[in-house]
Amino acid sequence: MTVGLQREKVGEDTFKGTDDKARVSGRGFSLSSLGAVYALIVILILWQVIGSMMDPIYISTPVLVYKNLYAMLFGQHQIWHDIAVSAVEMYVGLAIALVLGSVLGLLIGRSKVARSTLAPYINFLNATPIVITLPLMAIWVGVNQKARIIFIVILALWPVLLNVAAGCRNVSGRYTELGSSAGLTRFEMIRKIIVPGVLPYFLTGARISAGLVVIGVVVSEMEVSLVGLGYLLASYASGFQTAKLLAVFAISTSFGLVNVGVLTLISRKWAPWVATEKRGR
Amino acid sequence: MGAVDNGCLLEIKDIRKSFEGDKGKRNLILDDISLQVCKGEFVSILGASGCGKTTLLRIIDGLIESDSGEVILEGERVGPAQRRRMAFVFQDSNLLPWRSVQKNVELNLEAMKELSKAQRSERAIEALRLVGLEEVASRPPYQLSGGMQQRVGVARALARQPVVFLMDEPFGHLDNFTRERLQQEMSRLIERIGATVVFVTHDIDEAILLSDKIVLMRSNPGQVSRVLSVDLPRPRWKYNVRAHPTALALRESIVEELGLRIDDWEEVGGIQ
Repeated sequence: MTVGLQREKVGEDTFKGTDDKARVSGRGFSLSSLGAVYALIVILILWQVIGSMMDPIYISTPVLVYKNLYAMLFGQHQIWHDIAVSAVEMYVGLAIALVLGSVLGLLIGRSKVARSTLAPYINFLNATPIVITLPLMAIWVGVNQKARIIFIVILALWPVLLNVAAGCRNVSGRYTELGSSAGLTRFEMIRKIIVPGVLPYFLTGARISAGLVVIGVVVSEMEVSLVGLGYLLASYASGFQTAKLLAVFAISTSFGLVNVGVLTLISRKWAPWVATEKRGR
Repeated sequence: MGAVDNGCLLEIKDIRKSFEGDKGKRNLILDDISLQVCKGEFVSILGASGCGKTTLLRIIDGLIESDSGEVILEGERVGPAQRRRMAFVFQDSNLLPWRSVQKNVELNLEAMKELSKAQRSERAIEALRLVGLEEVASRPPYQLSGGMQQRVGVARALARQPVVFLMDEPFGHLDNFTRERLQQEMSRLIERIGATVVFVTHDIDEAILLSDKIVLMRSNPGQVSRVLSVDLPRPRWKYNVRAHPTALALRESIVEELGLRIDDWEEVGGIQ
């Protein structure tokens, strides 16, 4: 018998039983196509032309925004302190959300009792517009960094939690039966089957959370802060300093792009089969 | 090995199993199933979908527990030590995407602490060679076709060198061409290594091609309705077997027994 070594495309039937729909999908951002670059250039030129014809309060111009951005990063109005404050809140919040989300997700995914006990509250909180907890947080914890981090955690927790729980359900049955038939111990089952099986789900959730923490830090600093990117955004907005506002906007957005980009790369490296699985469909 | 008086390797005695149904009603899936598998025998369990044949196989492997009855392997009630001497081939090849083909095969050896790392890898390669896949040992499974993945699933069981193979419709998900080829390969392989197999299927021709003994199962509740022996010479070839008078007669009685014949065409709106 000879075996063809050509790479064969994975057929539809191969992954039957993979509950892919359960995985809440977040999309990576890439400017890979040349068309997108051209579009960006056109937009910038149009913005410059139209913006120069009216009061800079409205849409400002790319040149003005760039000048302000340069001053904020390297010039006279450096805002590194605010950037650092925001970055710390964001990443501490993200780290806590990832750990807490994974633990709760595993608990809910693995234990029937935990699921039936916690599910209604999780669904309730998940459906709540979480921004309304901010004023409460300020009352309970005060106008400080702790309040903002708690808010960021509550906001960014869900994608990880729900994805890890969905991953657990997908892994159980499909792969745990295999491990059980192979005679793995409980600990081996967790290490060899459950953790690697849930990992891609965790990464999918983490990528969405990594985007959400940027929203979390900006929103919370707009409301309960006197430092940080969100505070700057709010104060420039109320002062009609549109060019500065957009410069800070650009910095905040870069955080989001970097976060999501890094997690996309990690996913490709650690869970390459997920991309292949999708392509096969 | 502790041989048993009657020469039977695997004995299933009065297995009964019910599942929780709607409104707390219990549905009886398996009703007092008993059967015997001798050493080197290929036994097919044949029945319609939902007759409980897969459930029975999983009970034998200890993946689920029966309500009553017992499974005896080599004279002993099946426990962890006995389970280690059986190997399950899943319907869906069920390969772990984060492991290479070889590591997937080795998974089935990792509970055998008496094997060294080198021995494990040696046995995995040996098993892959038996199914003709040693060249793809280091590849990730998602790069293989469905048929190759299923062969890896078979190799995973072979690596264990079990006394009994338990196979749950291993070719059920494959396309027709691949299925035919794998059936033929399986037939060759079984004859070569003289394995003892309990094979679950709903394909009558597959059962005739591969088996020494066919256990027919009725549904609702699952019961053994008849046991037929397949007296066909080996080695068997799919196309010879299909036209063989013994096989035709056997097929006839299986169709009869399982109530698959439709006598009254008018009733089903068939040919007038």
